Amino acid sequence: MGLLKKVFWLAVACLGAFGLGLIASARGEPLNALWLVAAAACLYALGYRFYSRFVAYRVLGLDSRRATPAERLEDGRDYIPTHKWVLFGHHFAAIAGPGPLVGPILAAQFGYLPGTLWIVIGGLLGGCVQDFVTLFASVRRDGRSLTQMAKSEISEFGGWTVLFAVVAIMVILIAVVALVVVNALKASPWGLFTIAVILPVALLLGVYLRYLRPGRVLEASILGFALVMVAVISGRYVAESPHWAPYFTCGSATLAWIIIVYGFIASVLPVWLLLAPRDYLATFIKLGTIGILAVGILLAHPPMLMPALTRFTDGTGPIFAGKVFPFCFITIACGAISGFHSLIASGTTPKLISNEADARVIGYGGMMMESFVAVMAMVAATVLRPGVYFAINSPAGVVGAEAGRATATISGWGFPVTGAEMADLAHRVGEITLFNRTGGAPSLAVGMAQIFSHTLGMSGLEAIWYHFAIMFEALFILTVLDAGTRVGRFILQDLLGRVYRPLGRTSSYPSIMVASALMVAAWGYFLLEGVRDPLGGINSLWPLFGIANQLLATIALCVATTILLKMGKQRYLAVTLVPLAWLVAVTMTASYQKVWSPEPRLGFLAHAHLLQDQLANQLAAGGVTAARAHDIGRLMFNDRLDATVTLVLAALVVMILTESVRNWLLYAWGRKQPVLSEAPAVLSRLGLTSDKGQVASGE
Amino acid sequence: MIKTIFRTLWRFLLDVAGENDYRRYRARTLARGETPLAPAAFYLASLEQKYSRPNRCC
Repeated sequence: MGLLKKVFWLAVACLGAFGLGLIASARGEPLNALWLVAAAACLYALGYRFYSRFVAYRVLGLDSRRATPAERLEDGRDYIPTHKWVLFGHHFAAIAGPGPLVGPILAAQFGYLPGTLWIVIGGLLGGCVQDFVTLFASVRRDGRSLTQMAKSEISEFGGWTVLFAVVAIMVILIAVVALVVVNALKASPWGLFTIAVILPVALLLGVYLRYLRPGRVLEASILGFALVMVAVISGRYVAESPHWAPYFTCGSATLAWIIIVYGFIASVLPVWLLLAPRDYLATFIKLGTIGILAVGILLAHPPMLMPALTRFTDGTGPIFAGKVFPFCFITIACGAISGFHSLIASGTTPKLISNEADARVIGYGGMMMESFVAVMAMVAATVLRPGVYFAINSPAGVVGAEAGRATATISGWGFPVTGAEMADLAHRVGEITLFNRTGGAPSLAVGMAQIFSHTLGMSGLEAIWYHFAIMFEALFILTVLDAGTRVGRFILQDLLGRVYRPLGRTSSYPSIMVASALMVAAWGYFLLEGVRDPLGGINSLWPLFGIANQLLATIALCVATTILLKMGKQRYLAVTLVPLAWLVAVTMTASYQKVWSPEPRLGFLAHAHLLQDQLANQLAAGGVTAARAHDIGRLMFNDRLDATVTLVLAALVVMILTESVRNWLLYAWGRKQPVLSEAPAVLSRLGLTSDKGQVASGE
Repeated sequence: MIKTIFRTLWRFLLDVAGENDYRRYRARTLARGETPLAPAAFYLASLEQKYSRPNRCC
């Protein structure tokens, strides 16, 4: 490295350290968000330049002379050598979902510091490494999936655990993100109208792409975007119309049922008709909006009004219960480390890589980009006044459903907010109320609307920006919901087919209907549970999702560690073992507390006991109706169900870890021969004719 | 200069959107001496393949 480069990287390190020091030590005066963005950007640059290069060439030994599966097995369908930036775009669009937006918003209840540090450090040392190593391992194994690698590298049991974890994650994930949409659209005729219009637009695009211009995705997406913007703008007139507004004003339970029906329809309809065109639309809007948000933050450089640390690090937070450790690290999964990414990194992407060295920018760089999105979400949440943030995100069961009581409670915590201020804000963004809008989406939309309206010089258009942001988040979430339901349906059909062969036929309508109904019933149950939960649903469902997601990350890191051992890279095992140890500590602590904590807001069983006592007291006093007793009974059942799911997930973590450690010890003691199941190395022909970048040495 | 940038950007967008997939598939299939699918059939087969495994994350 030349002197000039050394000076440059030293300057980046100094700026990053200074920014980090500033955000960590800021007390009292609000800190400008640019410091947070600058510190994160410097750390990402350093992480990519030095750590990812170390992992790429010292640990994994990337070799661009070695032909990738895309080159060796090229068939024009599954295996296609693809330009690295095109593949980067595909990979990023696949891994970036609502998680990195919602998680940081919720974790902002601890203040901006814990979440930001976890997003950046956890991302660079954990999430990026997991994605990168999984992608590398899959490329070296002809694009095998995580399930197949877990089977071949750990054991048959490992493969089954992955399959179970995937279904569990999908069920809980879809339920929790559907709950976020419900809370964003309840009593919001403007928002619901916009989303309702997107569905016929998607159907129109589906027909266009199928019959009129097959595969012309870009022009169809531009047409779709124009129609969606018309819907966003005209939503105001629907919301203000005394005739139309009631049709689009729904409560939580109604919305939940609408979403359940949508999930079923999207799963059983041909994929070209609804799911794919809606996904195209979502992908372009998602990437565009993230870009606009980054520019908006740079131009607006707003002050962060949320303190670095709030009083809720002690576990008494209104949005979700639990101390900063472990719950900050469970709440922010996708922005820092997400097990689900390992499915993408071992799915389509490894079959498209044309050069093994590209795995670094796609695997490590793609996750780094997602982590940066999470930092931007954190900024969008913390530029709100803390009182406003808590008023939007706190459930009625904690702060009260009535505005006066809620503002008094929140102001009593030291975060002043008034009913008039909230009413004015709701009016400015075109909503009836912003109280108790849990789930993170409305507060993110308010934050984004403030940033957009201040930077783009259109302060009068705050309401349109707010609903644009809601539409953007809902599109993100619908993608997870319908694509997840469909994939879950395929997995279920595969499993059911082993029991009764006709149920495994993916083109048979009875089989499609049965598997779709089972999948939708599973996540629909949890969604309805969340809607009925007096604590808002997010308090119980989001940690469950975090635990399930980190279970998959644990499996991915166990597979990665096993592969490193088999490669003879014992010196570098810390690269995967440190994030693995951290994840196990976080997952197990969170699981224990969610099940057995004596605090009813935190522990599922303690909450069930509390309800049981309340019911017994009310029955003794004779002041309880049969309907109320039934409701309490259902809440108690839900608590026990959540505790059981948590225990099963935790048990799977223990089992997969035990199985992996047993294998590692057998290799170490020489009682089992480590056999690397890589595809044979073949010299790349592409490498002889084009610039293929670095070779194994890395330089 | 600006024209070249826009042309490159447009080509990149077409690639990311998958609009060149069929052209590539057709060229490769013909090179192998096989009969390629029609554009609409290729589009449908690609979608079935893409949306039958985890392809959208949380």
